Amino acid sequence: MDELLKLEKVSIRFGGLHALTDIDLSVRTGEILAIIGPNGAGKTTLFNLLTGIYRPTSGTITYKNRVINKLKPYERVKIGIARTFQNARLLKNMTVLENVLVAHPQCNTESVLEAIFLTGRRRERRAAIAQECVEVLKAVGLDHKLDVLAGSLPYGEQRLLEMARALVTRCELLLLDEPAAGMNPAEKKQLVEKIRQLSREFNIEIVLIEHDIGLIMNISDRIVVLDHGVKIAEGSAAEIQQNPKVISAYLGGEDDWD
Amino acid sequence: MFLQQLVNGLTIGVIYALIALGYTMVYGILKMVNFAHGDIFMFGSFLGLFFMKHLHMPLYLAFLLSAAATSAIGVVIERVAYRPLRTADRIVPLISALGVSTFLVSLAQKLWGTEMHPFPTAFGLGTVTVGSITFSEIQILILVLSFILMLGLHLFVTRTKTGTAMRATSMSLTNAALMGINTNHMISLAFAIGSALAACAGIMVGIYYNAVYPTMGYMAGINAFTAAVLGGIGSIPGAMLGGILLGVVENLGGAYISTQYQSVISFTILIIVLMIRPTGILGKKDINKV
Amino acid sequence: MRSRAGRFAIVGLLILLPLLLQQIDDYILHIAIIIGIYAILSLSLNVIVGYAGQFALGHAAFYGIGAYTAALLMLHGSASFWLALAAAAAVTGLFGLLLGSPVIRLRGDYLGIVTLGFGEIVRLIFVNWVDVTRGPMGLPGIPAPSLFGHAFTEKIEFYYLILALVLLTYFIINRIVHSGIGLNLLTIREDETLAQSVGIRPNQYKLLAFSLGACFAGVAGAYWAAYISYVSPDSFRYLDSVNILAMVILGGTASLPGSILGAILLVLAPEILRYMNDYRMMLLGLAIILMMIFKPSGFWGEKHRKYNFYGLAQKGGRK
Repeated sequence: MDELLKLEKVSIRFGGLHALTDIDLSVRTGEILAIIGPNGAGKTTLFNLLTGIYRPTSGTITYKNRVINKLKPYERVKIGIARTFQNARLLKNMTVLENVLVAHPQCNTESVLEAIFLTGRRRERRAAIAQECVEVLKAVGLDHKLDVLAGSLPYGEQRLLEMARALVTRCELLLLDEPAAGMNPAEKKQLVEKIRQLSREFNIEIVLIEHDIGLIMNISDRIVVLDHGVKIAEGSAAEIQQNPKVISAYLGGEDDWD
Repeated sequence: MFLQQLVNGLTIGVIYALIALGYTMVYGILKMVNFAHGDIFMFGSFLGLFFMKHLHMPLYLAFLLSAAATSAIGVVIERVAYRPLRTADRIVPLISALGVSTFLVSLAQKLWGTEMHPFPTAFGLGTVTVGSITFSEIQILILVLSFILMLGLHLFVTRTKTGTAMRATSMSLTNAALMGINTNHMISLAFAIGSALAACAGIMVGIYYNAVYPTMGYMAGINAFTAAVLGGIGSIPGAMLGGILLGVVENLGGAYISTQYQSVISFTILIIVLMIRPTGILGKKDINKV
Repeated sequence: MRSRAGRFAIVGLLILLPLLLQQIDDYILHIAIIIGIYAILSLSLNVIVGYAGQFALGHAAFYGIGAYTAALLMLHGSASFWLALAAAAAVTGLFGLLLGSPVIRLRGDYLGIVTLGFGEIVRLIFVNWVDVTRGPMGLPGIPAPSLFGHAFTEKIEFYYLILALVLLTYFIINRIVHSGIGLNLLTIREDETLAQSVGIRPNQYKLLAFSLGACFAGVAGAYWAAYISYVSPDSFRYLDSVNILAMVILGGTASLPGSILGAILLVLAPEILRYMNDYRMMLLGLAIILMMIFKPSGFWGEKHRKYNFYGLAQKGGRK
């Protein structure tokens, strides 16, 4: 098994606040990794580091054997890292289809000349690009709502749209930030299936942040636990459940071990 | 010669500082640049002129009344043109401010015409000489009054309960509200004080340059904004420092380089600051949470 | 948006109607020409403000740069109008790039003030660089355009010229904003972090918007120089920038028909409301404030958008 992504002693500091300290982490091909921890543990900060929104104060992030610390967010998308956000960042006044088109690598790299001189061939290419977007939307089950404004979708579907948008970038590493937030148990079950299916169908590695422990146990191959910016445990679902450090980190919190 | 230029620069500098304070106080709380602030400065100047020329009031009364009236105008503007837009897209209140600016300038043009008006010289043209530096009476007035005003503001903001409440509001609007501070009042207060200071600055400019005209707010506004950014936008001491610094640099530049392109100097400073250290000299770094 | 037939009908009307109007009063043609010039200016600014979301305030400066460039080329370089037009577009576009580069990273408020400053400085240069621009005296005697040896003398010839330029501008900008580029600009406008997260490079596209907007403003400037045959700094003041911005705002940001509407409204209004001339700017200021409070997306704004970006057909009619 290859190491797709590796973090070595990665730390980030905001002034006096040590958001993450000496994180060692790796994601191997063919696995689904979950990152859990109480609120404020630094999970989203970790994602922001992976996608280039933040730069680490120290340590290295290696992706496909290449150090990517200095890469800007849009460059990371080009090498295959995509993400969804904790609060679904959608273009509310644009349609579902447009929201996905925006992320399609061939749509957002159109040149000025191509735009002005729309030959028949280019029109066909656009239709093909749109079709690919429709395919991805079909995979998440939103292809019946192509022309609906994204802002009017129910919350669960908004999260699915975000996933479709990430998928269309042809990513190899997909970071899902609390994909199940706001879903009822039935939807969560569907989500687990969907994530598994997508990971196989599109051949992508998935790292997710989640609070629903049941969902995590169900879907992850490996779990990493963060608390106050430090990794306190790593292992399979069974191992994590027994780990005393993890238990005490969660004591007093409102998460339930279903 | 150099010291003289320094004094001249200081004079215009404190005027910039007074105007810059208005920008910085509003920005500190609302995180918005009040585009119309320069025109409020202009209006204050015209009101002062009106009180002195047509109502024959003495200078000190003109200062007081103009400050009061302009203060009221500032509060009304906030209430009517900015408050309803607080939840809209960022660009919306900016455009509204543009509308306010356009309205104020054209109102001034309607009321007082487009030409330059001289200010009745309330002061004698006497001078005081210390060593190689000559202070005109007007300069002394400006320097002393500005110092008093800035000191007063500083004491208000650091020693009084209301002033501290205002500072709290500028640190975090939501937290201040949660602590029971009436943030709307604080915002109105910021506008009120800023406009009053701008009005004083307006009268000072009127006396110093003996010219008042409806479009005088544009360049003064840009310069004062530059001063606020230079010192650190959102920081009251920053605005004072920035104003003085800008005035001095601009004056020295004008004296030694060229007077025609003087505004280019301050503008270049603005660009450089925004590109290298946008938080200014005394500003704090803004941490953005994603 | 209207159907193909509808569009042809409008263009046809625009071509034939003036022949009629010319018989009535030449002045109406002049108004139509002015509307045309401002339509181009408004469309070009909309790309920067409406689509890219950049609060740029010094647009009159680009207008002026185009005018002076064309004027100088025609007067001192004996260039033909057509060459001067192309050169003005290129030079102004370049300035758009130049002026855009330092400000690209700035946020709304700061951007507004800086672009306002740029506008003032450009105007100052127009006024003070007397050797080249003759300062406040301006550059008179600019030759009229000539086509196949025949120089333009009739208003109607100028009208058809501006009509052609407006249609060209509309066509090009329309294609660009309804492409992937347009989608990118809107994404950058709505949420820059999101744009970065889907692979868009914000600075590249903001600069593109600036150059494009500047380029077309330069076209309008070149036309102005040839039409009035005189350029002076008085035509390119801050107030003119505000006027153009008002057209974009009132008509509708990110809406091309909105820009045309805005131009029509703000050119016709002072003509029709002649008696209120004194209060014109005051009313404009109030109108802007009221629009922001009640109708921030303009009279013909984005909400009226009838078809998808990327040129795809709307609801139910996927090609």
